[in-house]
Amino acid sequence: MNFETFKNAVFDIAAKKGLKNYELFGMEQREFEINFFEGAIEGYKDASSSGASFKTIVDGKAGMSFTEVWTPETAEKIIDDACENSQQVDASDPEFIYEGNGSYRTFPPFEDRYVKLPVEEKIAYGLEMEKAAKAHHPSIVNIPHCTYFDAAERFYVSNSHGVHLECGREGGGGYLVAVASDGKAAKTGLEFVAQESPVGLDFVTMAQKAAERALKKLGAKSIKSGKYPIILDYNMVGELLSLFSFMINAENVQKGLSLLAGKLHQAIVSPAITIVNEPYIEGGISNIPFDAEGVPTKTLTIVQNGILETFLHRIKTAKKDGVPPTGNATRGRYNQAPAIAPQNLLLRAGPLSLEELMRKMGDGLYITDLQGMHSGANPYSGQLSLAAEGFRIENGKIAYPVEQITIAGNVLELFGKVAGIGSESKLSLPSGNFSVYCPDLYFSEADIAGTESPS
Amino acid sequence: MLQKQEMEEVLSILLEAGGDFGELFFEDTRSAEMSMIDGKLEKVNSGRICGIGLRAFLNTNAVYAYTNDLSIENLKGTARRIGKALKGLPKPQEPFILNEKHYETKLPVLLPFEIIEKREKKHVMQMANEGARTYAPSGSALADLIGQIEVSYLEKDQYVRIANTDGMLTEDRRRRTRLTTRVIAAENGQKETGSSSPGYGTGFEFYNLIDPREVGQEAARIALRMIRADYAPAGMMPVVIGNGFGGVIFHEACGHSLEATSVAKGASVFCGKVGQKIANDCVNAVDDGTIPNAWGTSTVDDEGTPTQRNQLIENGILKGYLVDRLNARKMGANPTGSGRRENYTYAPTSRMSNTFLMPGQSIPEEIIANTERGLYAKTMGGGSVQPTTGEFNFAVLEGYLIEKGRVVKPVRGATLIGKGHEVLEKIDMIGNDLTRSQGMCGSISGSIPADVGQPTIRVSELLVGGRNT
Repeated sequence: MNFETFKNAVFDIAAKKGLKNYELFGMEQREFEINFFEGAIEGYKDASSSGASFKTIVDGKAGMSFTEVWTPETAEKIIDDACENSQQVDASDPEFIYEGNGSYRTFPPFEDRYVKLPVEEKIAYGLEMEKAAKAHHPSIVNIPHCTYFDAAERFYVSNSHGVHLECGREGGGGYLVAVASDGKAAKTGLEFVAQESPVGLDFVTMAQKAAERALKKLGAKSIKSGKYPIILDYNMVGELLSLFSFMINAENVQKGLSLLAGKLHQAIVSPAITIVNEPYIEGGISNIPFDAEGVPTKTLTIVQNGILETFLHRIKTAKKDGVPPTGNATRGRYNQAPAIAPQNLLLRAGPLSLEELMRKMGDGLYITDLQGMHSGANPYSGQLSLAAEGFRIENGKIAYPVEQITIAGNVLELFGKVAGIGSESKLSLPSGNFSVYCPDLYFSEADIAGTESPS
Repeated sequence: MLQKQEMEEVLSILLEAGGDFGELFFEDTRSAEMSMIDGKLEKVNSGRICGIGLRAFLNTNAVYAYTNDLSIENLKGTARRIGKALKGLPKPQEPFILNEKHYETKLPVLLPFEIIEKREKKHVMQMANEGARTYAPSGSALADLIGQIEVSYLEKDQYVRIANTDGMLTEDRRRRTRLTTRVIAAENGQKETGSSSPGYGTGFEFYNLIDPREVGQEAARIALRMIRADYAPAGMMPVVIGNGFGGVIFHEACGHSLEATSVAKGASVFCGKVGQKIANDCVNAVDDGTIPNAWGTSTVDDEGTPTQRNQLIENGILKGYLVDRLNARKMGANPTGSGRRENYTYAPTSRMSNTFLMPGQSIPEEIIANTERGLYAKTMGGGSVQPTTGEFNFAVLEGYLIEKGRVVKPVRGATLIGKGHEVLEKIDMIGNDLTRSQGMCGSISGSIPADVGQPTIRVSELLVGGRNT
């Protein structure tokens, strides 16, 4: 059964059961991945799956049920389960099914270009990147992870108000971890590429960057505890913005879980900061014209010059606040309930190159890695306490690599201390089902702990 | 469901197409999740995932595919496609016959989820909510600090059937449930969280064993203790780590680096160290996937190998690694029942199950009394590690400052970092109060349930990330 047939079966049964308000969300996805180790294919994955989630709303209360089995029997089963689930709900804020009065931006057509690439070509890319990383320097001793990947997804939203939407998207690229060793200690460097089209993917440069990241860290030492100015690498700014995306989620705001509740139209961070949500970024892998409830996605200025302008909404939270939905409903997979997330979260770039930021800072730290985001960063309190590594900057130049330090503070306080913004917003390490684009950021002060004893 | 003969046909294709080993993993999982905010049930979601993962090896190379189109034509086509990707020479194969083998379950269930009505599950959640709400006496100053109370309930019923070209055919059913409470305390525009989330490999009878109110109370206790705490100091100091979830330090600092996933590639600090001393003499550590009804237990692993008790460290000496089938080939070792995966969309690899430090002689009070100045990390949050370098970090959920052998005040915002191989040498006192706690462990084969555990321990010196005064 394909989605269309399954949807017709579900909608027929739902109508017969007298349901008035319902939606079927469907997803088909495929993923392809090759892992390389020491010049050979170590792992190979070629896979596909599909599933659907039925949601019905009775007296404002939503019940959901999902299945990966598309048969007439499961069509009836998910309807019955969703109805039963809705009866248990006693939340006071009503849920809604999209009535479909929005207009959608036209995106470039979905072409499924990665599927058309011969597997031999993908293998060649992988072998090439592993070789490039190894050849970069004799101190590169191991490439534990070297992967080529591509994936495509097709989304469907159909509901009882006559909304029937369908779109596809794809992306591919690679990532590589290089290990450098000086005989005493080992250091790792990670780099990745990911884009919508296979055209112009540069695996070799990516691999060399990963090797360079590892090499530069050799000979790292800790420093004394204290307050230091820091520059945060764009990838790490991206990680911190994931905390921020929790706080601008209207569902969290309405439940009193966000530090930003009640802060609309107030200054929340440095006036140098502007953050937007974009439904489409050229070459991006998270672009989508409609959200998981069928609402059109749109460009949204979330923070303008440090002032909080809007939260991200889905239909339920928008109705509660009396504002239009912003098109930010999301479902990572069909087995997850609708949540709220940006499509592409973008922190606007500034005027300064990394070298200029370092010169401006003079003395401080350039932090390239943060570890422990999922435990050491608390989205409720905004508190950070993370392991870090990077470089000591003296007189505006890299002096030596630094390891075994921690950074502590509050994410909003930290973003209040922005003293310089890098000149390019780049895709940071993909995590979760949205993309983040950030520049390097220079902060005037951060709390650092190190293992060196104070002199 | 696939018949035995159909499985044999699909597996044969993996060999004919070029593999020297083939494996089929069938999964049919039903799950339900409910979430409650402040006593009101907000979301109920339930459903079923069902699919097949096919894997083939040629020497130490592996290919994997998954699909949930379970028609025999699609499975044969998929097997042919990935078998060819191995680039082995297609060869006539000796026919094999699948011999079904049953093991006594290590996850017996008394009250299956499907016979319990949803309102009873909701009632358990309401009790946890009530425990949190009434932890501080109503009208007291502390009661006003309790903000949101989030309670979630999870049940999962995973049925797997695993077959391979060695002729092995077996099945396993893993039923697990977990109750999570998170409490937010707020004062003067600041927020702190406390949480408690016990889980078990049983049916609904789990809620006869625990009092859900206590789950709520524990979360409220931590949130209230932390909201008025000072920030933790920064710097090197002795750290006393509480029992139970404190075992996450061993999980991160050492456990991940003993997984064959890292070891086979030479990407672990513990490569080639079996038989050598890697920890202080008092350290004994075990990974045991057989503990009846434990959160990380299964009867067989996700490659069909029966789970076992693996001694990892004995009196400070490294005894062995955690090994899956593929890495067993690479290392010339035997699988240890450690091949695990989140579901059929992941190829299995070596993972921990229930991993813990064995108890020692000290009573916990004595460990604190013997510490001049340091941090008492009573309750831990999660953490992470880079196995290649051994560098780990983890968050302290509930911390206290120790001065002159006494716990003097609560402190918040502490993180602990270090290198695993260095920390193992610095564990200098081990308590007699071993307990285990439940966590979700994330790695390349997905997010899987795993127990961590330890008695109270002391690390003589560790970097505490906090604030500089």
